[in-house]
Amino acid sequence: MILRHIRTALFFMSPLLPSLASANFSIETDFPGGNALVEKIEGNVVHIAPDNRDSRLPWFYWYFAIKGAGGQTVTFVLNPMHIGARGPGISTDGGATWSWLGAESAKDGTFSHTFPAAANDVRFSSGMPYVKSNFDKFLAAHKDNPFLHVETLAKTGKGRSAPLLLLTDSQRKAPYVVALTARMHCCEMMGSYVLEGIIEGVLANDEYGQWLRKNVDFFIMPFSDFDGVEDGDQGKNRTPHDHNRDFGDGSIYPEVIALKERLPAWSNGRPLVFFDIHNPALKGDVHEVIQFLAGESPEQADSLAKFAALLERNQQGELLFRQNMIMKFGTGYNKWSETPPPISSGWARTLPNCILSATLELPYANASAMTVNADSARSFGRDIAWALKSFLQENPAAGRQ
Amino acid sequence: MKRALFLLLPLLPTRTAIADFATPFTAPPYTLGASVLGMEGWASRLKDYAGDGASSRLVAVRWDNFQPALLLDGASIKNDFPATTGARVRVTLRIAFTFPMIELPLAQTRILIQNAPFGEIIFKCHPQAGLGLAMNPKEPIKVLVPFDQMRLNSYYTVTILVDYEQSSYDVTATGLKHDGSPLLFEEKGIHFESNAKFLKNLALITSQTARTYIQQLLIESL
Repeated sequence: MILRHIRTALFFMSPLLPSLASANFSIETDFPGGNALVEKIEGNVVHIAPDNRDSRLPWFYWYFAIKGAGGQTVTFVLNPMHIGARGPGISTDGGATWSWLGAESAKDGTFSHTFPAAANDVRFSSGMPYVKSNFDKFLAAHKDNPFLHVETLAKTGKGRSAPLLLLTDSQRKAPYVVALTARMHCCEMMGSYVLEGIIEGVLANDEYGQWLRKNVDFFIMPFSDFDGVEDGDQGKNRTPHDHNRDFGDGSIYPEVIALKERLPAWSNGRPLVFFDIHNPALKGDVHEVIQFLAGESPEQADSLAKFAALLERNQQGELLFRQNMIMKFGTGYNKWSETPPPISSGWARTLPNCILSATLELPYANASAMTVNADSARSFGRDIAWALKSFLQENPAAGRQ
Repeated sequence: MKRALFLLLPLLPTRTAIADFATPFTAPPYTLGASVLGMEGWASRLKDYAGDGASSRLVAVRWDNFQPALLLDGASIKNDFPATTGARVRVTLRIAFTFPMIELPLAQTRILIQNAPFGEIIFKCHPQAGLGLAMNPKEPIKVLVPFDQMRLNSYYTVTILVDYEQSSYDVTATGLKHDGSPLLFEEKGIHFESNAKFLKNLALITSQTARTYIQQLLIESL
């Protein structure tokens, strides 16, 4: 039996398992980002699957809490393709912080966990879920920063206020604009940590942060599919199309419509750099390499190559980036029948003031054998911030400084 | 590198050390963001190799409170410092790496000091290696910090005290393990056989698959 949209499911162990006869636990998804289908319970073995909801193609995002399992060992069985390169993510503080259980923790889609006696709410996921409460906690650490402004970008389809973050000196306009978007596919949470790192780089009291605050206004859409993030949807291949296929004519999602209206007006002709931050598939092949997806024109490809060279040169984080980590237009999955492609970075390239626009793919867990986690993703974000400074400083075609 | 730079060492209050080779990156002519080539004896090992300018730069290290360090990324450089003169010589190195956690034999950093009885100071991405000493890259490594315990972007301090009269050396390594706990390696009285009684000349060779930060490299006659 498949229990759909589990809120709280309390399972008692079978009396046929005397060692667990007194054990019980519940599996819950009734919190922001929650997503799981409990397919069946056999003793202390739980069969879990992602809830695909309105996605047309099967996807891999899942996120559940297990409560009341203290002192027990529980085995979870999933499709092997739904567990990432470093095993499942685990949180013991209600989703505030995460770590990987480790690649060796899961075999053939199965992993077990022995819960300490005092454990009550332990979270597991295909990734390291990041929802609005994580963002609020991050912003709280910067709440007195005069350059940080939080607005409502749009009311979502479900009536939520999708946030817009502006990093700007309200007394003056900077010569450059950088726009950053994340969670076009709402399940791709690791991009949110990159975004935190970029923001930290901009607000830092070092020469890079100071230069960026003086010379760049940042327009940041942290949750492009805000309902999906909070509801725990896959988002990818959403019906009738997902948010990152909504950038052609006749956009339907309020966040996308608002972005298309506000960014051109806000940038007002100033040289614009646009990055849309994604995660690829869960593991394997190019999905375990950082990739920038290049645009269709030689000018855009050249701009991205220059940025990538600076990113490689300036990086100091825990993820090694190399300038050849660019998926050229027309190669790999960066192939499109439409030009420009109806994706966010493709739309941004149609703006006359856009000097560089690209999609960034950060792997979920494994980037060229480096561990992707919240810290390393943030440090990569800091590297991007530093590279932005160098790019805008050194690229003579980028406009006045 | 200041041949006649005298330092009073807190650990040896009654003795004077001569810094035969030092890396005073905080002082001119070193400049943040610039290559060290052409300064204080630093030069390319490979004649006219254009890539060394970018591959051996002085940077302010973000994860070390912006303290300066020599960043090496695919570098092959040298510094021909004069021979040491002491009956004992101390080599002190503070070094960190960004590296993939897989077996990657060519992901190496090699620090070669001519005549060094301890061989090379070497870092290799290999389960049986890590940071250690080796007579050459093909020999087994005396592992100071095992690869699976190494921490990315975290400095390790390696100190080697060579005693020519005793024909032996002591080596210690400190830093943090992968899990953040303290690491200490210590071995004393390692015997060597060598007719050479001095160290001279230095070469740094690093791959592009691991980035290397050198915050301090000090060679002192005691």
